[in-house]
Amino acid sequence: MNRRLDLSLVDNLTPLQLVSLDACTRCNECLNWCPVLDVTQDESLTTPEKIRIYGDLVRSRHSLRSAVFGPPQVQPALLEKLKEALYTCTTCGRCGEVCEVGINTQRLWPALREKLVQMGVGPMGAQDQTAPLIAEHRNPYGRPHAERYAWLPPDVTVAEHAEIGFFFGCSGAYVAQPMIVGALRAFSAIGIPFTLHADEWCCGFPLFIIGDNAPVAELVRHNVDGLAARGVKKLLVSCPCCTFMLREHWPEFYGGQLPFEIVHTTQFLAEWIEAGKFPALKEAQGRFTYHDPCYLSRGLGVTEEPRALIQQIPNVDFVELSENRKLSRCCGAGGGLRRCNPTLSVEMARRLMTDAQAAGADTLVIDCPACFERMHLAQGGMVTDLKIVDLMELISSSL
Amino acid sequence: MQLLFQSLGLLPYSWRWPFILVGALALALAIGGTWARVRIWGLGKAESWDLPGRPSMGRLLWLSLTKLFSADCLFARRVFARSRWRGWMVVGFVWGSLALLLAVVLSAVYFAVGRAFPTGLDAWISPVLDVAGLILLVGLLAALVRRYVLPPQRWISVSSDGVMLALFVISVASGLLLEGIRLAGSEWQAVARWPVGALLAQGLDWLRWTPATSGRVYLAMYLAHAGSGLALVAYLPFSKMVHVLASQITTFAAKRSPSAAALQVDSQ
Repeated sequence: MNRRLDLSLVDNLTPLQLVSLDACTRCNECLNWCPVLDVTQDESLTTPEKIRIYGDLVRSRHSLRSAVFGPPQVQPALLEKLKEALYTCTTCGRCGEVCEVGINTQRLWPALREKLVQMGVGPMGAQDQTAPLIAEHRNPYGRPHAERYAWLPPDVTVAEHAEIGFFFGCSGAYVAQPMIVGALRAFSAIGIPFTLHADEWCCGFPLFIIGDNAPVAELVRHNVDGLAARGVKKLLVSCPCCTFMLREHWPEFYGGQLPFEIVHTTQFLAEWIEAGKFPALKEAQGRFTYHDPCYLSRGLGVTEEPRALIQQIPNVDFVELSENRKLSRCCGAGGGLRRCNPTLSVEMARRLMTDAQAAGADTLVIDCPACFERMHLAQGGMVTDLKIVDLMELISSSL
Repeated sequence: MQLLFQSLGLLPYSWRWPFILVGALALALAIGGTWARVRIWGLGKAESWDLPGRPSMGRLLWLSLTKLFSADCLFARRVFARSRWRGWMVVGFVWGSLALLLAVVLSAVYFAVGRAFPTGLDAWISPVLDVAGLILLVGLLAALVRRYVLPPQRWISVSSDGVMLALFVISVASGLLLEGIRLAGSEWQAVARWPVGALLAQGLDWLRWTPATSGRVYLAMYLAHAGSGLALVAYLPFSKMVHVLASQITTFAAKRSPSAAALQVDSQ
């Protein structure tokens, strides 16, 4: 692809994001928390460098000198360095959470990646297959679209029309079926009628997160219109990345307010617990710990609802990971990293499993299909007795 | 102009015009550089989750100014959440710099309108500024120790970071030394309004400088103080220290980040 280096570098950033490029104090606190740095030990890939390089580019591209004499030459090596730093990242947002000046990195990185894609610099490695795969199969895994509903248990009733809808997502459908099967069983147990999209497509997050936004609007419109046609007023979503995408970005791609509200599955079920209407659960054997997914905890602030669900299990033996809630460690699955650097991604997942073992748990409860897939993959190369269980799988098996 | 020259009475006459020109150039660079930075902030597209209000340059500058006095910034809450050591360091920077900056602005205003600084006000402000200088110096020394003596295991830095820190340290240390030289040889009671300066004066008394030596050192410190101060002002908007204008806005916005708390879930 030809590189377009004469583009505006600021037109897709908000004023706050442009201020953020000047706000970094290089205190380096984020380096202490970067799960990528834990593995790579390469400080040039970290947040202060990403912000410094992009900020320098913006200031030279949009300076008065540039306006008078034309855009300056950008060194290809610098762009390559920026690309490597921006894409060797899961966008987990832990750097932003601990940032002493509150820079929201989870929102900043996709915007900078989008600009790299527009310039013909990004994405990185096999990430460039994401758009063709989604265009052909409607999912980023390249699995047949015809199998998207193959996980649906025959004993669960799906209404043709209902006010409650369920968006199960590509990862749920293809690599983490226990999560979405468990969610449906929980909905059935509390007796709520729900519906599904007649032909659900990818939510667009895998494209959005690597900055390849061009095809996203079509996916969003298809999904929104199909769910609205089913009469959905409240859409339950189990995948944290999908939830974040639907809540925070779908309105902008849809071009207006959505005709339904977006609620994460655990939030919905936690309300039933609070109302005293959640069915009694059976005891479960084991010592459990819970991993907070990045986009659920830091992205949406949902940390207590999953714990409330786990606490519904009678006499549950539960321990916290040393880094939990909004400071949880990333499993390595996010940000498209598993596609462009699978080795690093798996190693990051192993660090999380080591944390779980150090906490004394024998079962790691996951509430994200991407984490679920990554942890199972990582388990393959480790000598460990740690069990990986999805939260909805755990709850539904205790019903 | 007569007033301005009086304030530069320490300098040889032939140095005064170049000195004024350098000062004006530094100020022009500071204003132009700040404008260039803030102009870029205003180029962003408005989003509902972003900063409230129209993202104009004026609005962003207003936020920068007003949010500096928020509890989050004045008490470095996000910094204390991660490290008490760095928290005190930042509080030292913020409080020390703010006190000195406000005093400079206030005295500049009196100077501009051609009036003498009120004696009563001076009696209150002098000890505050004196201690503020010390607090700022301690904060800067802590930063120097963290950067060059005991750096954290994970660390990334560029050379310009050290330039700003050096200018800051020279400016503050020379300012305190100037005060010490001015007060040297005085009785304790006469200099109690400047506790830090008085302490330094005691130390300088040990050196038994002749009036001529004192005069030369004073002039050197004056030039170091003014030179580093002007360089700091001129370089600030072109360096990473521009975060003194930007970070209060991001700190303010962090409180408004999207949160699921806004969701209204009704299970009935």
